[in-house]
Amino acid sequence: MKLSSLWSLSTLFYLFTALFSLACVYPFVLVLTSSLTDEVELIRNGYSLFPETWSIAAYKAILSTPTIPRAYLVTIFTTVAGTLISLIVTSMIAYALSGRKLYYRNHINFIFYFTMLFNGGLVSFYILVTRYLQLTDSIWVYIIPFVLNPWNMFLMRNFFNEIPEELYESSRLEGAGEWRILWQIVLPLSLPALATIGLFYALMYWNSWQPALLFINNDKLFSLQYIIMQIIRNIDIAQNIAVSSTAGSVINTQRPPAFTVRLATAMVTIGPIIFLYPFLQRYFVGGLKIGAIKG
Amino acid sequence: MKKGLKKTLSLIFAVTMSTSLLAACTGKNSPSTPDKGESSPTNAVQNNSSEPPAVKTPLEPVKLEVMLWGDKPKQFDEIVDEFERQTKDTLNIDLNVTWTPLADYGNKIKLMLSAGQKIDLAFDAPWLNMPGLIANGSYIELDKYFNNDQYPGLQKAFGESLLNNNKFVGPDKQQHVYGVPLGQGYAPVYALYYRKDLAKKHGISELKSYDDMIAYFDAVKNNEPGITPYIFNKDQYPPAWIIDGNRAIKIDQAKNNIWEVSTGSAGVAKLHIVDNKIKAAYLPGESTDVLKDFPEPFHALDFTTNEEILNWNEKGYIESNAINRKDAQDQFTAGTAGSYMQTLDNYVALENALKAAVPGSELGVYVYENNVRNMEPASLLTEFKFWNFLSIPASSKNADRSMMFLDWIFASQQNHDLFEYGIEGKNWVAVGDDKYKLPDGVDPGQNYAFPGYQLTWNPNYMRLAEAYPQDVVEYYSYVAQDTTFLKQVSAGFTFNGEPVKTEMTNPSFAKMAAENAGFELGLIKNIADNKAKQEQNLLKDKQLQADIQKIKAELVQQLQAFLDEQ
Amino acid sequence: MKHKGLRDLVKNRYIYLMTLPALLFSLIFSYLPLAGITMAFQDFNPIKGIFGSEFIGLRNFEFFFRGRDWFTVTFNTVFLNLLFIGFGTLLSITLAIMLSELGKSLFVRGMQSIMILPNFISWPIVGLFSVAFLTADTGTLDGLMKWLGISDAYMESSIWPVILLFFSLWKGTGFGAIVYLAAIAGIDRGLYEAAKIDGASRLQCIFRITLPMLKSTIIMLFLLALGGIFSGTLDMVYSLVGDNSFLFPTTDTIDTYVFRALRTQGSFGMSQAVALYQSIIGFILVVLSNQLVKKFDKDSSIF
Repeated sequence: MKLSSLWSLSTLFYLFTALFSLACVYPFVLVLTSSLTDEVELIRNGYSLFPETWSIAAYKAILSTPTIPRAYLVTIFTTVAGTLISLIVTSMIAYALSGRKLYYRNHINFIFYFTMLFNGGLVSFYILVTRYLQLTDSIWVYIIPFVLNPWNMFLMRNFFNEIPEELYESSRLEGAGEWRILWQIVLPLSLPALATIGLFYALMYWNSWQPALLFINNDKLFSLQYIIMQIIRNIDIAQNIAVSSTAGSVINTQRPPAFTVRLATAMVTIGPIIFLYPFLQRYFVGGLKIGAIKG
Repeated sequence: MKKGLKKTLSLIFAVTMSTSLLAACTGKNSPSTPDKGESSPTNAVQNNSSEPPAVKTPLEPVKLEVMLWGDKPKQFDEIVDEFERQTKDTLNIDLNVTWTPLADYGNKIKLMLSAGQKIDLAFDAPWLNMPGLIANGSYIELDKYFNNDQYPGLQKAFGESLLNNNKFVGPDKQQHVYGVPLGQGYAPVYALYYRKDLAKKHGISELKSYDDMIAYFDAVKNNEPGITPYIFNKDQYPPAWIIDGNRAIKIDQAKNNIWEVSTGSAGVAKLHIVDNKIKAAYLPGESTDVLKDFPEPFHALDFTTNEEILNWNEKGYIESNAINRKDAQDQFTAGTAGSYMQTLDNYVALENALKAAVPGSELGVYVYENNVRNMEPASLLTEFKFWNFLSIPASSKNADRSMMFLDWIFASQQNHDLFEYGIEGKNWVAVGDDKYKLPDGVDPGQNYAFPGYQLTWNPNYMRLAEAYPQDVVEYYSYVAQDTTFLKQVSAGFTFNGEPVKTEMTNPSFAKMAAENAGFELGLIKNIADNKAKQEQNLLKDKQLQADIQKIKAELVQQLQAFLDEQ
Repeated sequence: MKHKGLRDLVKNRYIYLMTLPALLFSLIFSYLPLAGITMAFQDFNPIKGIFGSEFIGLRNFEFFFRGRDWFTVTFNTVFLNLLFIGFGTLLSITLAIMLSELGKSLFVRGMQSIMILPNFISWPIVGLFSVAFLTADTGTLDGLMKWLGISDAYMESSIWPVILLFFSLWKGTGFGAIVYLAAIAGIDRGLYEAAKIDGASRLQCIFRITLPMLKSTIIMLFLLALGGIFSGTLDMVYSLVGDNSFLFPTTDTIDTYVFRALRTQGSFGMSQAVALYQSIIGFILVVLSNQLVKKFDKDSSIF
C-alpha cells in the first residue's frame, strides 16, 4: 500500500514538473531557432521550430559590433566584483539583524524597508551620482550605487533566522568574536542562502544597463546589456521612422535584420549567466545536521 | 525585486518611448520645400548683439559637447578627425558627440541639465523637449546669429521667412529663434508603393487613379492568397490617409476657411477663420453642436471615410485586425503584401529590399493625393515649419563657438557634404552639382550614413541619390516650388500648452486616441451608432469637457493674438 | 527604555558595527535622494533645480484623478498583482516541493535549470511571441477560444486577466521556486527521518514539516510583495497589451495609464507624484499587515 502510493506520488510530481519545464523550454527553443532563421522567411512564415532557411546574419550583426568583446570584460568584472562586495555587505547586515540579537533591530529593519517603497526619483539620484560622487565614466558606477538590495537583505536575514542561536551561543560564551561566528559558523551553514542571494545579485549586475545610459559616455566602459539595449532601441526607431533623407534612402537598404536581431539579442544576453544556476545547484544542500553539532 | 529605482526608472524612461517615433523626422505636415531664403540682406541687422569673435586669428581650443540621438554612424570618428584637421587653424574645435537612443534621449537631456552637466549643442524638436525647455528658460535665443555678416554661412542657408516660420514664443512672450531649423522641405510626398509585377499580371498596367487602386486591391485579394492588398502598422499610415487624400479633404477645408491646428496631446482643433478672425472652434471630444457654426458641409462630423475603411476591412483589402502589426514595411518587401505607404524618398531602399527578397518583382508608385499626383499648384498644406532643431542650453559657455561650427557647416556645399555624406571619393561620389552616388565596391552596410536631420539638413544644400527614377525626381522639383504649397493660416504659430498643462494631461485624451484606433482599423461596425455612443460617453465626462473648454479658450486666445499681429 | 537601548548598543557594539556599511550605503543612496520627493509638489524646472523650483502643492496629482478611470486602473492594478502574487507563490512552492522530493538526478537538476529560462526573456520579446501565440489559426488555444465563443482574443477584454496571469506564471514561477528550494534545502533532515520512523507518509511529511518550515519565508516574501501591489506592471502589461483600447477595462493599470497620459506632455513632477501615490498606499498596506503578522508570529514580520 505504502509502496504504491509512494510510486504514484512521484509519478505525479515528475509529470507536473516535466510538463511545466516543457512549457518553459518550448518558447525558449522557438526564440533560438527563430533567431537563426533567415529574416525574410521569418517575416513571411512566422516562427517555426524547423525553418527552411537557416541564417546567422543576426548574430553576425550583433557580434560584429566592435565594442562587444570589451563590453563582455566590463560586464564580467562588474558581475564578479559586484557580487562579492554585495554578498559581504549583505551578509553582515543580515546576520546582525537576524534572530533577536539587537534591541534596535526592528528600527533598522524599518529603515531599510522604507527605502524599498519610497524613492526620490531619477533626477536626485542622477545629481547625486554625477555631481557629488563624481562617478561619471567610471566602472564603479555599475557597482557602488547598487551594492545593497534590501529585498535580498531581508531574504538572507530570513535564512539566517533558521539557524538556531544555540548553535553559536556556546561559541560566544567562550569569547569568540561576532566576525568569527559569522565567518566560521553561520556562513558555512548557509550555503543555499549564499548561493541564492549570490545568484540574484549576479543576475542584477549582469543585466545592468541603466548606469551606462545615464553615466557613461566612454564607449570602452559600456556594459554588454547596454550595447544590446542600444541595438534593440535603435532598430525600433529605424523601423518606425520614415527616414526621409536622400542619403538615408540608399543606406536604408542595409538595415540589419530587425526581427532576428531582436531575438538573437535575447540569446546573447543570456549567454554565460545561464550556466550559473546549474553550477550553484550543488550548494543547495542542507547545512550540517544540527543534531550532529549538538552532540 | 529591485522595486524602487527600477520602478521609477521604467516609468520615467517609458514616458518618452513611443510618441517621438511617429513624428520623428517627418510628421504628416512636415518639411519639404526648400525655402530658398534670401542669401544676403544688404545690411546685416546688427542689433545689440555681443561681439562675435573674429574668425581670422587662431582661437583658443575649445571642446564642444554635442548631444545627438541614435546609433553612432560607422566611420564617424574619421569624419570628425577630418573636420578637425581642416579647421585646426580656424575653428580649433575638439568635437565630442554623444549618441543616445532616441527613447531615452529626451529624458537624458533633462537630467543632464538638472545636474548642471555640460552641453553645448543639443538636438531638440517640438515633439521632444523644446516647448518645456524653452518655457523654463533652458535654451538661449539665437536671433543675433542670423542675418549677421559675421556668420555668412548661416546667412546663406537660413533666410528671413524660413526663420520667421520657425520661431517659438519665449518666456518673454515674444517670438524668437530657439533652435537652428533643420530640414529639406516642408512636406513630404507620400505614395502608395505597390507591386507592379502583380498589377501587370492581372491586367492593370499602372495605377493612375483611386479606382485603379481599388481594382488592384480586388485583383490581389481574389487571386493572390496570402498577400494582403494593403498593409500598415497600427500607428502609421492608416487607410484613412489614402481615402482622405483622394477626397482632398484638407484642401477643401482650407478653401472654406477651415484650418486645423494641433494642440499636442489634446488633439487637432478645427477652426473657422475669416479675415484673421476666429469665428468658431472645435476640439475633438466636445459636443458636435459646436460644429453648427461651421460652413457647410462641415457643420457635422462626416463619417464617410470611416465607412470606407470598414468597407475595406470587410472586402479584405486590409487585415481583419491590424492592431498588433508592427512590421508592415518588412512584410511588403518580403512579398506578403500588395501595397504599402511610405514617403517618396524611400524609393531606392524599398526597391532594393523588395528585389532582394522577391525575384521578378517590380516596384510601382502611386501618389494617392489627387492634386499632388497631378502636380497642381496649391496642393500641399504647410505651416512652413521644420521638425528638427539644434538648440543651445543657457548653461553652455561656448555658444558663439557652437554657432561658428554650424556657420562652417553651412558655409559651402563642400563643408556641408563632409558631415552629410562623408569623405568624398571614399564614402560618396558627386554626380554633378545636385546628385551623388556610392563609389563602386563600397558596402552600404559599412559605409558612413549620417542622420542629416540632426545637423546638416538644409534646403539649399541638397543632393539626390542618383538611383532615383525620373518621376520621383520630378516630384522633388515639384515640391521645391513655393507655388505647390498652400500656406496654413497658422504658419509661424506654435501652441504653448504650459498654461493649461494640467488640463492637457487629462488621461482621457490618451484614452480617446486609443479608442479611435478601433475605427481607424475598420474594427467597429455600425459606425454612426457607435460614434454617437462614443460622443455620449465623452459628454458624460464632465471633467474632460471642462478641460476641453479651457484648452480651447487658451488656444483661441493665443491664436487670435498671433493672427492679430499678422 | 532608552537605558535599555543604550546598554544594548554597548553590549552588542561589534554587531552594530557590522550594520554600518549597509546603513551608510542606505543613507547615501536611498535617503539623500529622497529630497527628490519634493518634485512631486513642485513645478520642476531643471534650471532652478530641486530646491529652487516653484512649489505648487498638490497640483501634480490632479491629472491622475482627472479622468474617471483612476478607480478602474487602481482596482485593476491591485487585482492583477494579487492574482500574480497569489497564484505565483502557490505554484512556486508546489514546484519547489515537488522538485526537492524528486531527488538530485541529472534529469531533475536539468528541469530546475530549464524552469528559470523564461525569466531571462524580456517582456518586449514575450510580447512579440504572444501575438503569434494568441492569434494562431489552429491548435488547442484556438479550439478553446472557439468553444468560449471568442473570435479575436485581442478584442475580448474579459479573458485577459487570465491571459496575463498565465504569462506571469510562465515567466516568473520557475525563478521564484529557487528561493523556496533554498529554504527547503536548509531544513534539518533529521526532522524527516524522525517522522518517517514514526510512520508518516510522504504527503504527511510535506504538510507537517516542509510547509510549516517554509512559513516564515512565505509570509515574508508575501509582505515584501504587498508593498508593490500598486505598481510594477508597466513592462509586462505594455508589452502584451500595448495601446489596444479594447482591452483597457480589465488590463489598464496605474503604470500604463499614467505612461500614456504623460507620454506627450509629461513632466518629472507628475511622474514623481504618481510614484509617491503608489508608494504611500503600498506603505500603509504593508505597515498594517506587518503589525498583523507581528501579533501571530513575531519572527516572520519584516519590521
